[in-house]
Amino acid sequence: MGNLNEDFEKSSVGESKNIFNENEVFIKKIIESDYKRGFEILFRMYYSRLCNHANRFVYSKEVSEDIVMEVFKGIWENNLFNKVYGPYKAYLYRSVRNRAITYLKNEVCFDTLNEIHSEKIESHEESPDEIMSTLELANKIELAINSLPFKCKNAFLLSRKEGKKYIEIAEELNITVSAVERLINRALTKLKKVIYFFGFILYYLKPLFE
Amino acid sequence: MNTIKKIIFDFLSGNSTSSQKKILSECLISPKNQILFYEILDEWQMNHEHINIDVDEALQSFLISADSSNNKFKVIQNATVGSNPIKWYAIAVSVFLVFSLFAAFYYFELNSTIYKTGNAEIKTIKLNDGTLVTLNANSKLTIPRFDFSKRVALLEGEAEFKVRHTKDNSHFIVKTNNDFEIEVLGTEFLFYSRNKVNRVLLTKGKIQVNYFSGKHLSMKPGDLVSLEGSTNRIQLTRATQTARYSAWKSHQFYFEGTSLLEFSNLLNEQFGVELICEDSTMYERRLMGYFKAESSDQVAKVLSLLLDVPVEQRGNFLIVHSSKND
Repeated sequence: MGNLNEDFEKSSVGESKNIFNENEVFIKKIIESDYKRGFEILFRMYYSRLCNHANRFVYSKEVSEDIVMEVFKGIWENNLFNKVYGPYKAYLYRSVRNRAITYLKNEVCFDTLNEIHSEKIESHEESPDEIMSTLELANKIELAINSLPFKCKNAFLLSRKEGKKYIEIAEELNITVSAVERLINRALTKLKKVIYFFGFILYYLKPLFE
Repeated sequence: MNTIKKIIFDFLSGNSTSSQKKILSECLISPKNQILFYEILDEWQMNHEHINIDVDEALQSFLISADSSNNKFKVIQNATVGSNPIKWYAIAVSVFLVFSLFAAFYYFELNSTIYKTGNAEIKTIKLNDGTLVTLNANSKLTIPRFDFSKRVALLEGEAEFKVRHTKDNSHFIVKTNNDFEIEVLGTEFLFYSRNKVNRVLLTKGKIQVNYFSGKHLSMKPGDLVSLEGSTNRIQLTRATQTARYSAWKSHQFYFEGTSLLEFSNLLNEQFGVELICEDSTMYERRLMGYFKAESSDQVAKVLSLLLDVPVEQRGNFLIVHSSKND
Protein backbone atom coordinates (compact mmCIF):
# COMPACT_ATOMS: atom_id res chain seq x y z
CA MET A 1 0.00 0.00 0.00
CA GLY A 2 2.90 2.28 0.74
CA ASN A 3 3.97 1.56 -2.80
CA LEU A 4 0.74 2.78 -4.20
CA ASN A 5 0.84 5.99 -2.32
CA GLU A 6 4.26 6.52 -3.81
CA ASP A 7 2.79 5.75 -7.19
CA PHE A 8 0.22 8.42 -6.68
CA GLU A 9 2.85 10.87 -5.58
CA LYS A 10 5.06 10.01 -8.49
CA SER A 11 2.36 10.46 -11.08
CA SER A 12 1.15 13.69 -9.59
CA VAL A 13 4.54 15.21 -8.91
CA GLY A 14 6.88 13.57 -11.35
CA GLU A 15 4.96 13.39 -14.59
CA SER A 16 3.06 16.61 -14.65
CA LYS A 17 5.12 18.64 -12.18
CA ASN A 18 2.09 20.65 -11.33
CA ILE A 19 -1.14 19.49 -9.79
CA PHE A 20 -2.93 21.51 -12.42
CA ASN A 21 -3.18 19.91 -15.78
CA GLU A 22 -1.12 21.86 -18.31
CA ASN A 23 -4.09 22.80 -20.40
CA GLU A 24 -5.76 24.15 -17.32
CA VAL A 25 -2.90 26.56 -16.73
CA PHE A 26 -3.45 27.89 -20.20
CA ILE A 27 -7.20 28.10 -19.77
CA LYS A 28 -6.75 29.84 -16.45
CA LYS A 29 -4.75 32.53 -18.25
CA ILE A 30 -7.54 32.98 -20.76
CA ILE A 31 -10.22 33.08 -18.08
CA GLU A 32 -8.36 35.84 -16.31
CA SER A 33 -8.23 37.99 -19.43
CA ASP A 34 -11.45 37.01 -21.20
CA TYR A 35 -13.93 35.12 -19.05
CA LYS A 36 -16.43 34.31 -21.78
CA ARG A 37 -13.85 32.85 -24.11
CA GLY A 38 -12.34 30.72 -21.36
CA PHE A 39 -15.78 29.55 -20.36
CA GLU A 40 -16.52 28.51 -23.92
CA ILE A 41 -13.29 26.54 -24.15
CA LEU A 42 -14.07 24.64 -20.98
CA PHE A 43 -17.62 24.05 -22.18
CA ARG A 44 -16.40 22.66 -25.49
CA MET A 45 -13.74 20.54 -23.87
CA TYR A 46 -15.78 18.90 -21.17
CA TYR A 47 -19.45 19.06 -22.14
CA SER A 48 -19.64 15.76 -23.98
CA ARG A 49 -17.55 13.87 -21.44
CA LEU A 50 -19.56 15.25 -18.55
CA CYS A 51 -22.83 14.29 -20.23
CA ASN A 52 -21.50 10.78 -20.60
CA HIS A 53 -20.49 10.78 -16.97
CA ALA A 54 -23.93 11.92 -15.83
CA ASN A 55 -25.45 9.32 -18.11
CA ARG A 56 -23.84 6.58 -16.07
CA PHE A 57 -26.15 7.56 -13.24
CA VAL A 58 -29.35 8.80 -14.80
CA TYR A 59 -29.44 6.73 -17.99
CA SER A 60 -31.15 9.33 -20.07
CA LYS A 61 -29.50 11.47 -22.67
CA GLU A 62 -31.90 14.33 -22.07
CA VAL A 63 -31.56 14.35 -18.31
CA SER A 64 -27.79 14.04 -18.56
CA GLU A 65 -27.61 17.09 -20.77
CA ASP A 66 -29.95 18.98 -18.45
CA ILE A 67 -27.74 18.19 -15.49
CA VAL A 68 -24.56 19.31 -17.20
CA MET A 69 -26.29 22.44 -18.50
CA GLU A 70 -27.41 23.28 -14.97
CA VAL A 71 -23.89 22.94 -13.68
CA PHE A 72 -22.53 25.24 -16.38
CA LYS A 73 -25.37 27.67 -15.81
CA GLY A 74 -24.58 27.87 -12.11
CA ILE A 75 -20.95 28.51 -12.97
CA TRP A 76 -21.85 31.18 -15.49
CA GLU A 77 -24.28 33.04 -13.24
CA ASN A 78 -21.99 33.05 -10.24
CA ASN A 79 -18.72 33.57 -12.09
CA LEU A 80 -17.47 30.41 -10.44
CA PHE A 81 -14.52 29.76 -12.74
CA ASN A 82 -12.95 32.84 -11.20
CA LYS A 83 -13.47 31.48 -7.72
CA VAL A 84 -12.78 27.77 -8.07
CA TYR A 85 -9.70 26.69 -6.25
CA GLY A 86 -8.01 23.71 -7.88
CA PRO A 87 -8.47 22.19 -11.30
CA TYR A 88 -11.65 22.93 -13.22
CA LYS A 89 -11.78 19.31 -14.25
CA ALA A 90 -12.22 17.95 -10.72
CA TYR A 91 -14.72 20.66 -9.92
CA LEU A 92 -16.82 19.92 -12.99
CA TYR A 93 -16.90 16.16 -12.49
CA ARG A 94 -17.71 16.56 -8.83
CA SER A 95 -20.55 19.00 -9.49
CA VAL A 96 -22.05 16.88 -12.23
CA ARG A 97 -21.91 13.76 -10.11
CA ASN A 98 -23.51 15.50 -7.13
CA ARG A 99 -26.29 16.82 -9.28
CA ALA A 100 -26.89 13.42 -10.84
CA ILE A 101 -27.18 11.90 -7.37
CA THR A 102 -29.57 14.64 -6.31
CA TYR A 103 -31.66 13.86 -9.37
CA LEU A 104 -31.73 10.16 -8.55
CA LYS A 105 -32.74 10.96 -5.01
CA ASN A 106 -35.72 12.96 -6.15
CA GLU A 107 -36.61 10.43 -8.79
CA VAL A 108 -36.38 7.37 -6.62
CA CYS A 109 -37.38 9.14 -3.43
CA PHE A 110 -34.73 8.38 -0.91
CA ASP A 111 -36.86 10.30 1.52
CA THR A 112 -34.56 9.58 4.39
CA LEU A 113 -31.57 10.90 2.53
CA ASN A 114 -33.29 13.98 1.32
CA GLU A 115 -33.24 15.62 4.69
CA ILE A 116 -29.66 14.80 5.43
CA HIS A 117 -27.98 15.48 2.16
CA SER A 118 -28.52 19.08 1.27
CA GLU A 119 -26.80 20.30 -1.88
CA LYS A 120 -23.07 20.07 -1.43
CA ILE A 121 -22.15 21.28 -4.85
CA GLU A 122 -19.96 24.13 -3.69
CA SER A 123 -17.93 22.08 -1.23
CA HIS A 124 -14.28 21.50 -2.03
CA GLU A 125 -13.67 18.57 0.22
CA GLU A 126 -14.96 15.12 -0.37
CA SER A 127 -14.39 12.04 1.68
CA PRO A 128 -12.97 9.03 -0.20
CA ASP A 129 -16.13 7.18 0.74
CA GLU A 130 -18.25 9.81 -0.88
CA ILE A 131 -16.35 9.59 -4.13
CA MET A 132 -16.15 5.84 -4.21
CA SER A 133 -19.62 4.88 -3.14
CA THR A 134 -21.30 7.25 -5.56
CA LEU A 135 -19.19 5.96 -8.42
CA GLU A 136 -19.91 2.45 -7.32
CA LEU A 137 -23.58 3.25 -7.61
CA ALA A 138 -22.98 3.90 -11.30
CA ASN A 139 -21.48 0.42 -11.64
CA LYS A 140 -24.41 -1.13 -9.80
CA ILE A 141 -26.82 0.59 -12.16
CA GLU A 142 -24.90 -0.65 -15.17
CA LEU A 143 -24.86 -4.14 -13.75
CA ALA A 144 -28.60 -4.02 -13.15
CA ILE A 145 -29.22 -2.95 -16.72
CA ASN A 146 -27.01 -5.68 -18.08
CA SER A 147 -28.91 -8.26 -16.10
CA LEU A 148 -32.26 -7.24 -17.56
CA PRO A 149 -33.94 -9.65 -19.99
CA PHE A 150 -32.67 -9.09 -23.52
CA LYS A 151 -35.75 -7.39 -25.00
CA CYS A 152 -36.29 -5.28 -21.94
CA LYS A 153 -32.70 -4.08 -21.94
CA ASN A 154 -32.81 -3.35 -25.65
CA ALA A 155 -35.94 -1.24 -25.44
CA PHE A 156 -34.62 0.60 -22.42
CA LEU A 157 -31.28 1.46 -23.98
CA LEU A 158 -32.85 2.58 -27.24
CA SER A 159 -35.10 4.90 -25.33
CA ARG A 160 -32.66 6.24 -22.79
CA LYS A 161 -29.30 6.21 -24.50
CA GLU A 162 -30.26 7.00 -28.03
CA GLY A 163 -33.24 9.13 -27.10
CA LYS A 164 -35.58 7.30 -29.47
CA LYS A 165 -39.33 7.63 -29.29
CA TYR A 166 -41.54 4.68 -28.33
CA ILE A 167 -42.92 4.44 -31.86
CA GLU A 168 -39.45 4.24 -33.33
CA ILE A 169 -38.46 1.56 -30.85
CA ALA A 170 -41.64 -0.40 -31.60
CA GLU A 171 -40.77 -0.39 -35.28
CA GLU A 172 -37.19 -1.35 -34.68
CA LEU A 173 -38.01 -4.24 -32.37
CA ASN A 174 -41.10 -5.22 -34.30
CA ILE A 175 -43.49 -5.01 -31.32
CA THR A 176 -46.41 -2.77 -30.37
CA VAL A 177 -46.00 0.60 -28.69
CA SER A 178 -47.74 -0.58 -25.54
CA ALA A 179 -45.33 -3.51 -25.37
CA VAL A 180 -42.44 -1.04 -25.53
CA GLU A 181 -44.03 0.90 -22.72
CA ARG A 182 -44.35 -2.20 -20.62
CA LEU A 183 -40.76 -3.25 -21.24
CA ILE A 184 -39.38 0.15 -20.30
CA ASN A 185 -41.54 0.36 -17.21
CA ARG A 186 -40.30 -3.00 -16.11
CA ALA A 187 -36.72 -1.86 -16.58
CA LEU A 188 -37.37 1.31 -14.62
CA THR A 189 -38.99 -0.53 -11.72
CA LYS A 190 -36.00 -2.84 -11.50
CA LEU A 191 -33.58 0.06 -11.64
CA LYS A 192 -35.39 2.02 -9.00
CA LYS A 193 -35.26 -0.99 -6.73
CA VAL A 194 -31.53 -1.29 -7.21
CA ILE A 195 -30.92 2.37 -6.64
CA TYR A 196 -33.19 2.45 -3.64
CA PHE A 197 -31.63 -0.63 -2.15
CA PHE A 198 -28.12 0.59 -2.78
CA GLY A 199 -28.92 4.01 -1.43
CA PHE A 200 -30.42 2.36 1.61
CA ILE A 201 -27.29 0.35 2.21
CA LEU A 202 -25.14 3.38 1.66
CA TYR A 203 -27.17 5.26 4.18
CA TYR A 204 -27.03 2.66 6.91
CA LEU A 205 -23.74 0.94 6.39
CA LYS A 206 -21.55 3.70 5.04
CA PRO A 207 -21.86 7.30 6.04
CA LEU A 208 -22.24 8.38 2.44
CA PHE A 209 -23.95 11.68 2.85
CA GLU A 210 -22.36 13.08 5.92
CA MET B 1 -0.04 1.74 -17.49
CA ASN B 2 1.01 2.33 -13.91
CA THR B 3 -0.62 0.43 -11.09
CA ILE B 4 -2.76 3.19 -9.72
CA LYS B 5 -4.20 3.99 -13.11
CA LYS B 6 -5.07 0.36 -13.59
CA ILE B 7 -6.73 0.17 -10.19
CA ILE B 8 -8.84 3.23 -10.94
CA PHE B 9 -9.75 2.02 -14.41
CA ASP B 10 -10.77 -1.35 -12.95
CA PHE B 11 -12.77 0.38 -10.28
CA LEU B 12 -14.63 2.53 -12.78
CA SER B 13 -15.41 -0.48 -14.92
CA GLY B 14 -16.69 -2.34 -11.86
CA ASN B 15 -13.95 -4.97 -11.90
CA SER B 16 -12.05 -4.22 -8.72
CA THR B 17 -11.75 -6.43 -5.67
CA SER B 18 -12.61 -5.24 -2.21
CA SER B 19 -8.95 -5.04 -1.24
CA GLN B 20 -8.25 -2.82 -4.22
CA LYS B 21 -11.13 -0.62 -3.19
CA LYS B 22 -9.72 -0.36 0.28
CA ILE B 23 -6.35 0.74 -1.09
CA LEU B 24 -7.96 3.28 -3.35
CA SER B 25 -10.06 4.64 -0.56
CA GLU B 26 -6.98 5.18 1.57
CA CYS B 27 -5.14 6.91 -1.22
CA LEU B 28 -8.05 9.25 -1.80
CA ILE B 29 -7.70 10.81 1.63
CA SER B 30 -5.03 13.12 0.26
CA PRO B 31 -6.56 16.05 -1.69
CA LYS B 32 -3.65 15.94 -4.13
CA ASN B 33 -4.46 12.35 -4.96
CA GLN B 34 -8.10 13.26 -5.43
CA ILE B 35 -7.06 15.70 -8.14
CA LEU B 36 -5.08 12.98 -9.86
CA PHE B 37 -8.04 10.67 -9.45
CA TYR B 38 -10.23 13.08 -11.41
CA GLU B 39 -7.52 13.34 -14.02
CA ILE B 40 -7.64 9.57 -14.51
CA LEU B 41 -11.42 9.50 -14.28
CA ASP B 42 -11.52 12.04 -17.10
CA GLU B 43 -9.22 9.90 -19.21
CA TRP B 44 -11.38 6.86 -18.60
CA GLN B 45 -14.54 8.79 -19.39
CA MET B 46 -13.02 10.03 -22.63
CA ASN B 47 -12.64 6.42 -23.76
CA HIS B 48 -16.12 5.44 -22.63
CA GLU B 49 -18.41 7.75 -24.52
CA HIS B 50 -21.65 5.95 -25.23
CA ILE B 51 -24.01 8.74 -26.06
CA ASN B 52 -23.47 11.18 -28.89
CA ILE B 53 -23.64 14.79 -27.88
CA ASP B 54 -23.83 17.80 -30.17
CA VAL B 55 -21.57 20.21 -28.31
CA ASP B 56 -21.96 23.10 -30.75
CA GLU B 57 -25.71 23.04 -30.51
CA ALA B 58 -25.56 22.79 -26.72
CA LEU B 59 -23.20 25.74 -26.47
CA GLN B 60 -25.43 27.83 -28.74
CA SER B 61 -28.55 27.12 -26.73
CA PHE B 62 -26.62 27.72 -23.54
CA LEU B 63 -25.42 31.15 -24.63
CA ILE B 64 -28.91 32.14 -25.73
CA SER B 65 -30.50 31.07 -22.47
CA ALA B 66 -27.70 32.69 -20.46
CA ASP B 67 -28.41 36.00 -22.17
CA SER B 68 -32.13 35.86 -21.63
CA SER B 69 -31.84 34.65 -18.04
CA ASN B 70 -29.68 37.64 -17.24
CA ASN B 71 -32.56 39.93 -18.15
CA LYS B 72 -35.14 37.76 -16.48
CA PHE B 73 -33.10 37.65 -13.34
CA LYS B 74 -33.08 41.41 -12.94
CA VAL B 75 -36.82 41.76 -13.42
CA ILE B 76 -37.63 38.93 -11.02
CA GLN B 77 -35.36 40.42 -8.41
CA ASN B 78 -37.38 43.59 -8.54
CA ALA B 79 -40.68 41.77 -8.60
CA THR B 80 -40.12 39.76 -5.44
CA VAL B 81 -40.18 42.88 -3.32
CA GLY B 82 -43.32 44.14 -5.02
CA SER B 83 -45.55 44.74 -1.98
CA ASN B 84 -44.12 48.18 -1.45
CA PRO B 85 -45.66 50.83 -3.79
CA ILE B 86 -42.30 52.49 -4.36
CA LYS B 87 -40.91 49.15 -5.48
CA TRP B 88 -43.74 48.82 -8.00
CA TYR B 89 -42.66 52.10 -9.35
CA ALA B 90 -39.15 50.70 -9.59
CA ILE B 91 -40.42 47.71 -11.56
CA ALA B 92 -42.32 49.96 -13.96
CA VAL B 93 -39.20 52.01 -14.52
CA SER B 94 -36.99 48.97 -14.99
CA VAL B 95 -39.44 47.34 -17.40
CA PHE B 96 -39.65 50.61 -19.29
CA LEU B 97 -35.87 50.80 -19.37
CA VAL B 98 -35.54 47.26 -20.65
CA PHE B 99 -38.08 47.95 -23.37
CA SER B 100 -36.55 51.21 -24.40
CA LEU B 101 -33.18 49.52 -24.50
CA PHE B 102 -34.57 46.89 -26.84
CA ALA B 103 -36.30 49.55 -28.89
CA ALA B 104 -33.12 51.56 -29.18
CA PHE B 105 -31.23 48.43 -30.11
CA TYR B 106 -33.67 47.52 -32.88
CA TYR B 107 -33.85 51.08 -34.08
CA PHE B 108 -30.10 51.11 -34.38
CA GLU B 109 -29.96 47.69 -36.04
CA LEU B 110 -32.71 48.48 -38.55
CA ASN B 111 -31.35 51.85 -39.44
CA SER B 112 -27.84 50.76 -40.15
CA THR B 113 -26.07 48.58 -42.63
CA ILE B 114 -23.93 45.88 -41.09
CA TYR B 115 -20.99 44.20 -42.73
CA LYS B 116 -19.64 41.13 -41.00
CA THR B 117 -16.86 38.64 -41.67
CA GLY B 118 -16.49 35.12 -40.30
CA ASN B 119 -13.49 32.92 -39.65
CA ALA B 120 -10.63 33.39 -42.11
CA GLU B 121 -12.78 35.72 -44.22
CA ILE B 122 -11.42 38.99 -45.60
CA LYS B 123 -13.81 41.33 -47.36
CA THR B 124 -13.44 44.67 -49.12
CA ILE B 125 -16.44 47.00 -49.04
CA LYS B 126 -17.04 50.17 -51.00
CA LEU B 127 -19.18 52.64 -49.08
CA ASN B 128 -21.57 55.11 -50.70
CA ASP B 129 -19.08 57.97 -50.51
CA GLY B 130 -16.41 55.96 -52.28
CA THR B 131 -14.48 55.01 -49.14
CA LEU B 132 -12.89 51.58 -49.29
CA VAL B 133 -12.86 49.38 -46.19
CA THR B 134 -11.08 46.03 -46.00
CA LEU B 135 -12.41 43.97 -43.10
CA ASN B 136 -10.25 41.32 -41.47
CA ALA B 137 -11.71 38.02 -40.21
CA ASN B 138 -14.28 38.03 -37.39
CA SER B 139 -14.92 41.75 -37.67
CA LYS B 140 -18.03 43.88 -37.89
CA LEU B 141 -18.59 47.29 -39.43
CA THR B 142 -21.83 49.16 -38.78
CA ILE B 143 -22.83 52.12 -40.94
CA PRO B 144 -25.90 54.19 -39.95
CA ARG B 145 -28.19 54.23 -42.96
CA PHE B 146 -30.00 57.54 -42.64
CA ASP B 147 -27.30 59.79 -41.32
CA PHE B 148 -26.34 62.01 -44.26
CA SER B 149 -24.85 64.90 -42.37
CA LYS B 150 -21.85 62.99 -41.04
CA ARG B 151 -19.95 59.99 -42.22
CA VAL B 152 -19.82 57.61 -39.27
CA ALA B 153 -18.86 53.96 -38.93
CA LEU B 154 -18.63 51.65 -35.93
CA LEU B 155 -15.85 49.07 -35.99
CA GLU B 156 -15.54 45.91 -33.93
CA GLY B 157 -12.46 44.01 -35.03
CA GLU B 158 -9.78 44.96 -37.51
CA ALA B 159 -9.90 46.84 -40.80
CA GLU B 160 -8.07 49.01 -43.25
CA PHE B 161 -9.73 52.27 -44.26
CA LYS B 162 -9.07 54.24 -47.44
CA VAL B 163 -11.22 57.28 -46.81
CA ARG B 164 -12.31 59.34 -49.80
CA HIS B 165 -12.00 63.12 -49.45
CA THR B 166 -15.36 64.71 -50.30
CA LYS B 167 -15.98 68.12 -51.85
CA ASP B 168 -17.76 69.49 -48.80
CA ASN B 169 -14.83 68.52 -46.56
CA SER B 170 -17.10 66.41 -44.34
CA HIS B 171 -15.32 64.42 -41.65
CA PHE B 172 -15.32 60.64 -41.51
CA ILE B 173 -15.50 59.21 -38.01
CA VAL B 174 -14.69 55.64 -37.00
CA LYS B 175 -16.02 54.76 -33.57
CA THR B 176 -15.30 51.77 -31.35
CA ASN B 177 -17.15 50.26 -28.43
CA ASN B 178 -14.61 51.91 -26.16
CA ASP B 179 -14.09 55.60 -25.62
CA PHE B 180 -11.83 55.82 -28.64
CA GLU B 181 -12.52 57.16 -32.13
CA ILE B 182 -10.78 58.41 -35.25
CA GLU B 183 -11.72 61.54 -37.13
CA VAL B 184 -10.45 62.11 -40.68
CA LEU B 185 -10.92 64.00 -43.90
CA GLY B 186 -9.32 61.68 -46.39
CA THR B 187 -6.52 59.24 -45.58
CA GLU B 188 -5.49 55.65 -45.30
CA PHE B 189 -5.09 53.87 -41.99
CA LEU B 190 -5.23 50.48 -40.32
CA PHE B 191 -7.49 50.14 -37.32
CA TYR B 192 -7.54 47.32 -34.78
CA SER B 193 -10.17 47.21 -32.04
CA ARG B 194 -10.71 43.94 -30.21
CA ASN B 195 -11.04 43.04 -26.53
CA LYS B 196 -10.54 46.61 -25.31
CA VAL B 197 -7.30 46.92 -27.25
CA ASN B 198 -7.29 49.70 -29.85
CA ARG B 199 -4.49 50.28 -32.31
CA VAL B 200 -4.26 52.66 -35.24
CA LEU B 201 -1.51 52.87 -37.80
CA LEU B 202 -1.65 55.83 -40.16
CA THR B 203 -0.21 55.15 -43.59
CA LYS B 204 -1.22 58.29 -45.47
CA GLY B 205 -2.59 61.80 -44.69
CA LYS B 206 -3.50 63.08 -41.27
CA ILE B 207 -5.98 61.99 -38.66
CA GLN B 208 -7.18 62.95 -35.24
CA VAL B 209 -7.76 60.47 -32.44
CA ASN B 210 -10.48 61.31 -29.91
CA TYR B 211 -10.36 59.44 -26.63
CA PHE B 212 -11.34 59.61 -22.96
CA SER B 213 -14.33 61.83 -23.86
CA GLY B 214 -12.69 65.00 -25.05
CA LYS B 215 -8.96 64.37 -25.37
CA HIS B 216 -7.39 64.65 -28.79
CA LEU B 217 -4.24 63.54 -30.50
CA SER B 218 -2.94 64.23 -34.01
CA MET B 219 -1.20 61.55 -36.03
CA LYS B 220 1.31 61.76 -38.87
CA PRO B 221 1.94 58.96 -41.41
CA GLY B 222 3.92 56.14 -39.82
CA ASP B 223 2.59 56.92 -36.35
CA LEU B 224 1.19 54.09 -34.30
CA VAL B 225 -1.27 54.89 -31.51
CA SER B 226 -2.43 52.23 -29.12
CA LEU B 227 -4.76 52.16 -26.15
CA GLU B 228 -4.91 49.05 -24.01
CA GLY B 229 -7.87 48.46 -21.75
CA SER B 230 -5.73 46.80 -19.12
CA THR B 231 -3.41 49.77 -18.56
CA ASN B 232 -5.78 52.42 -19.89
CA ARG B 233 -2.84 54.45 -21.19
CA ILE B 234 -2.49 55.88 -24.64
CA GLN B 235 0.80 55.48 -26.45
CA LEU B 236 2.17 57.10 -29.57
CA THR B 237 5.17 55.47 -31.25
CA ARG B 238 6.77 55.35 -34.67
CA ALA B 239 5.99 52.05 -36.35
CA THR B 240 9.15 50.32 -37.50
CA GLN B 241 7.73 47.66 -39.79
CA THR B 242 4.47 48.88 -41.21
CA ALA B 243 4.10 45.77 -43.35
CA ARG B 244 3.52 43.80 -40.17
CA TYR B 245 0.24 45.57 -39.47
CA SER B 246 -1.22 45.03 -42.91
CA ALA B 247 0.05 41.45 -43.29
CA TRP B 248 -3.42 40.11 -42.61
CA LYS B 249 -4.67 41.57 -45.87
CA SER B 250 -2.73 38.93 -47.77
CA HIS B 251 -3.37 36.22 -45.15
CA GLN B 252 0.15 36.54 -43.80
CA PHE B 253 1.43 36.29 -40.26
CA TYR B 254 4.44 38.29 -39.11
CA PHE B 255 6.49 37.30 -36.11
CA GLU B 256 9.23 39.11 -34.25
CA GLY B 257 9.81 36.79 -31.33
CA THR B 258 6.08 36.41 -30.82
CA SER B 259 5.29 33.79 -28.19
CA LEU B 260 2.96 30.94 -28.97
CA LEU B 261 0.60 32.28 -26.31
CA GLU B 262 0.32 35.62 -28.12
CA PHE B 263 -0.08 33.79 -31.39
CA SER B 264 -2.96 31.78 -29.93
CA ASN B 265 -4.92 35.01 -29.45
CA LEU B 266 -4.29 35.92 -33.07
CA LEU B 267 -5.45 32.48 -34.19
CA ASN B 268 -8.62 32.87 -32.21
CA GLU B 269 -9.37 36.22 -33.82
CA GLN B 270 -8.53 35.04 -37.29
CA PHE B 271 -9.87 31.50 -37.51
CA GLY B 272 -11.91 31.06 -34.34
CA VAL B 273 -9.75 28.16 -33.19
CA GLU B 274 -8.05 27.60 -29.87
CA LEU B 275 -4.46 26.51 -29.64
CA ILE B 276 -3.86 23.92 -26.96
CA CYS B 277 -0.37 22.72 -26.12
CA GLU B 278 -0.01 19.39 -24.39
CA ASP B 279 3.20 20.64 -22.89
CA SER B 280 2.63 24.03 -21.28
CA THR B 281 6.25 25.12 -21.70
CA MET B 282 5.46 25.24 -25.42
CA TYR B 283 3.48 28.44 -24.90
CA GLU B 284 6.76 30.20 -24.17
CA ARG B 285 8.27 29.17 -27.52
CA ARG B 286 8.91 32.20 -29.73
CA LEU B 287 8.33 32.48 -33.44
CA MET B 288 10.34 34.48 -35.98
CA GLY B 289 9.74 35.36 -39.60
CA TYR B 290 6.50 35.20 -41.52
CA PHE B 291 4.27 32.74 -43.27
CA LYS B 292 1.07 32.67 -45.20
CA ALA B 293 -1.97 30.68 -44.13
CA GLU B 294 -5.52 30.97 -45.36
CA SER B 295 -7.00 28.33 -43.09
CA SER B 296 -6.30 26.85 -39.70
CA ASP B 297 -5.29 23.63 -41.47
CA GLN B 298 -2.42 25.43 -43.09
CA VAL B 299 -1.46 26.99 -39.77
CA ALA B 300 -1.29 23.51 -38.29
CA LYS B 301 1.09 22.39 -41.03
CA VAL B 302 3.37 25.41 -40.69
CA LEU B 303 3.43 25.22 -36.90
CA SER B 304 4.29 21.58 -37.04
CA LEU B 305 7.27 22.41 -39.27
CA LEU B 306 8.39 25.37 -37.18
CA LEU B 307 8.11 23.65 -33.82
CA ASP B 308 9.08 20.21 -35.04
CA VAL B 309 6.21 18.50 -33.24
CA PRO B 310 2.94 17.05 -34.56
CA VAL B 311 0.11 19.60 -34.68
CA GLU B 312 -3.38 18.32 -35.23
CA GLN B 313 -6.70 20.04 -35.84
CA ARG B 314 -9.61 18.62 -33.85
CA GLY B 315 -12.82 20.56 -34.32
CA ASN B 316 -12.20 24.03 -33.01
CA PHE B 317 -8.92 23.11 -31.41
CA LEU B 318 -5.39 23.00 -32.72
CA ILE B 319 -3.59 20.51 -30.55
CA VAL B 320 0.18 20.88 -30.29
CA HIS B 321 1.45 17.51 -29.18
CA SER B 322 4.57 17.22 -27.12
CA SER B 323 7.38 15.65 -29.09
CA LYS B 324 8.23 13.04 -26.49
CA ASN B 325 5.00 11.17 -27.23
CA ASP B 326 6.03 10.37 -30.75
